[in-house]
Amino acid sequence: MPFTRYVEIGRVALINYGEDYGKLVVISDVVDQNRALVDRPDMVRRQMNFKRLVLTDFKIDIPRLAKKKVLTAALEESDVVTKFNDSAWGRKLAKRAAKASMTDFDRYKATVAKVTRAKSVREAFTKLKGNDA
Amino acid sequence: MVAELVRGIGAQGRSKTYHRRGLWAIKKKHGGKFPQHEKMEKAAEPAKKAPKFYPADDVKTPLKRRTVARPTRLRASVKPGTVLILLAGRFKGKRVIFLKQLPSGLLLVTGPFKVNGVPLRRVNQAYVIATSTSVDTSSVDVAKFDDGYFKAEKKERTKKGEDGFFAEAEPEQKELKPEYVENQKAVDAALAKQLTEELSGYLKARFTLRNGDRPHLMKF
Repeated sequence: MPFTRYVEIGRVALINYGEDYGKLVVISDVVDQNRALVDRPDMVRRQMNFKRLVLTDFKIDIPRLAKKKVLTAALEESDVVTKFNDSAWGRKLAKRAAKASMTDFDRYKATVAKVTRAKSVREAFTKLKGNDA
Repeated sequence: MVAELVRGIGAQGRSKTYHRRGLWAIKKKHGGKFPQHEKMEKAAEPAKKAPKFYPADDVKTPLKRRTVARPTRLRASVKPGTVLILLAGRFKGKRVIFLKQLPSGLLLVTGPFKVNGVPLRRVNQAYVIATSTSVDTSSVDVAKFDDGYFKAEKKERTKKGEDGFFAEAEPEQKELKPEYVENQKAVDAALAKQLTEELSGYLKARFTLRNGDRPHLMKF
């Protein structure tokens, strides 16, 4: 399989380490083989090591070292953030965040729901199987 | 606070401090002097006779104690009605309802007893996790509960004779005073109105850590 995600201008990446963990950025330039200049509408453009970035499937059409205005417009037009959130990866992240923010009572309710569901599945299963089991 | 140059020496001198504190304004308002209370007149003490003898031994004077017992500060996450998770003692893992803080700083909690078997009890807030769940406890009357309420009764010690020593000591079943039972029932009844079925199920369940749980990252 050839690669499908490349480090290139306009590639959307996810930060997987540090203060900005979990934020989406766009590569606006490549500094060297280790670092890229990354940007997003609500952040000052800065360098970031590739080790801290995970490339996504998305790429937006921007020139090298695009101005904030151009970047914002391109993001808006391509709707990349929404698309990412709707992707399997984005949904997984959302699910993880939701799970982490559960309170003790929520966890109890989830346990009860799980038990109830398992019970009804089991009952239905035994019914289908018949009494000879 | 003004910055310090080194410990004990402020960055501002006496004159500057005087101006910063605005004492001149107070002086000016009161005609060039600080306002002072007039000294109370002391009642004239009766003339004391010199004692005939001095005590031969040194009389011990009690040590001066400067420490003031401050009331325990209640954790901000704990408010009346908060569901707490007990971490120690025979009810560890139980979820209970916080009623009020007692003067000793301990927390008054109850299961309620009817729901999960935890009676009215005092716990130290250090042995408790506060959850974000809470129950309305405004209808519960907790005025009569103080630290004295929980004090154990003094046991009467009987001298054991020889036959008392050899006779098998029968473990006495302690009878709970009826008033304790009644107080518990009253509290339980008031709380029962506030509990939904789901909430009482929650209170019934014990809290426990399982594989993969990271309590420092969990929200309660």
